[in-house]
Amino acid sequence: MPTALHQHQPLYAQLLQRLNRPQGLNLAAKKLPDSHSACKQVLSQLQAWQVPIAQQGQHYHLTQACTGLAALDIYQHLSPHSQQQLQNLHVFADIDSSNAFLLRQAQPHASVCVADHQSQGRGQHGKTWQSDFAKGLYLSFAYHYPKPPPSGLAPAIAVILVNTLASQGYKGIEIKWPNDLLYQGRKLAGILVEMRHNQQGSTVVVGVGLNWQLPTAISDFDYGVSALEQIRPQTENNNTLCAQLIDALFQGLQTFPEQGLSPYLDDWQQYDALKDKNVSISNAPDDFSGIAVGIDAQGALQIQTPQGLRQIQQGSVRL
Amino acid sequence: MDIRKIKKLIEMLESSGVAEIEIHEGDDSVRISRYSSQAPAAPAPVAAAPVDTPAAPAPTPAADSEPEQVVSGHAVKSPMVGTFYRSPSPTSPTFAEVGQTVNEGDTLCIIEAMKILNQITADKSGKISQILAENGTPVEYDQPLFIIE
Repeated sequence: MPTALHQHQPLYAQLLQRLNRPQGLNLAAKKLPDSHSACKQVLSQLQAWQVPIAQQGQHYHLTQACTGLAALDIYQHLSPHSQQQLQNLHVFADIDSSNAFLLRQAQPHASVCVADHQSQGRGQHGKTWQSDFAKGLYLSFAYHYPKPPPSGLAPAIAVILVNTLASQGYKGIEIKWPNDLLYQGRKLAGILVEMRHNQQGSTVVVGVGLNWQLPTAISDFDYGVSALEQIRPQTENNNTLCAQLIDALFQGLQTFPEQGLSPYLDDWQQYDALKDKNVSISNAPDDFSGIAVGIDAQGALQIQTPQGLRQIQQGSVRL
Repeated sequence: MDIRKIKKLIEMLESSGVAEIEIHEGDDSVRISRYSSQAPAAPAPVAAAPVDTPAAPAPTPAADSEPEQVVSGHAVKSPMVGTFYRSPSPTSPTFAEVGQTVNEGDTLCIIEAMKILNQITADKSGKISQILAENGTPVEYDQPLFIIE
């Protein structure tokens, strides 16, 4: 069955396309993609999200190129395997949270939701994930397993992302256990894995927040922010990279029940940002410190302490 | 299980010499004992395990000679070891409260395990009569979390 493509709120993409032209967009023009007031509302929203739009009376244009994600463009860049097996591809200009959207669906198996903007982007421990319009990729992938998958899914996803980005020339990305991607010690991407269990099995929703560009205003970050544009100038289209990440996640989610974490352990060692570093652990459930010595076969972080080796499965880690 | 049926069972027990009676009906089970315990001990889980939980030895109840409490309803148990959260984030409202009516499939809590946030859903519709775990505390495999009547 071919993928169902859902381009939600298409007026955003239609107006951005016009705004990107040298002549910009004239709201007084006869041929607008929607009513004058609907167009005006979208333009005001884009301005409120600090999209660089210059306005002179009824005339609008972008001072810096800005394109949103497009369902058809993403689909055309997917592998034949994904094109055949992906059930739904939802593209939003704006959503509360791409993870929350998929968790609300009755049958989200093999569905992807991407958005240009999230109003309630979520991170670990109920933290918010800053989601500026078109400055990052906010991608969620839902996959249904008849039985709960083995442990270690979150670290496996982190390795899959780093490998995919490295294959596109984004080198030097490290992983901070279990699910933050760092570049030069600053946060480039975060992963939030949520799972829903019921009588029919387990539906996993993998959420990825990845910065293309630095956010407009940095808030609430523990250790600085990084973006792909700092690793190398971005030459490819956002839709292309998005499609490559979907392909890689799809393959990883499909093979995870049989393979588990083991195929990813060697790569983890190579990317481990905490390896041989002094770390403090809190809420695990007690607080202690020691030297991080990699992960075990289940994905638990191993800490060498004066009392011996300890494995932690939850808690916060600080360098 | 029908409340009238339970009432009838109590009457039966009272008019008989039997000390305790336990009835299983599908996923539900009820145990009625003559000796009501005076101490509000932790209610013993009596419901059958949800069908999808992998087989594992049932945790042995705390060894004591206290008579069983009268417990009815369906226990929603933890399918994993992890940290129990009653709301999606520290600032948002809880998923469920005592007295609330829930439908099968509604999210009752989150258990964080290996950095994955697991939404635990009601496997039965009904009214929540008890919440047996504290927000932010560790829970064990098969530990009863909610009782749904």
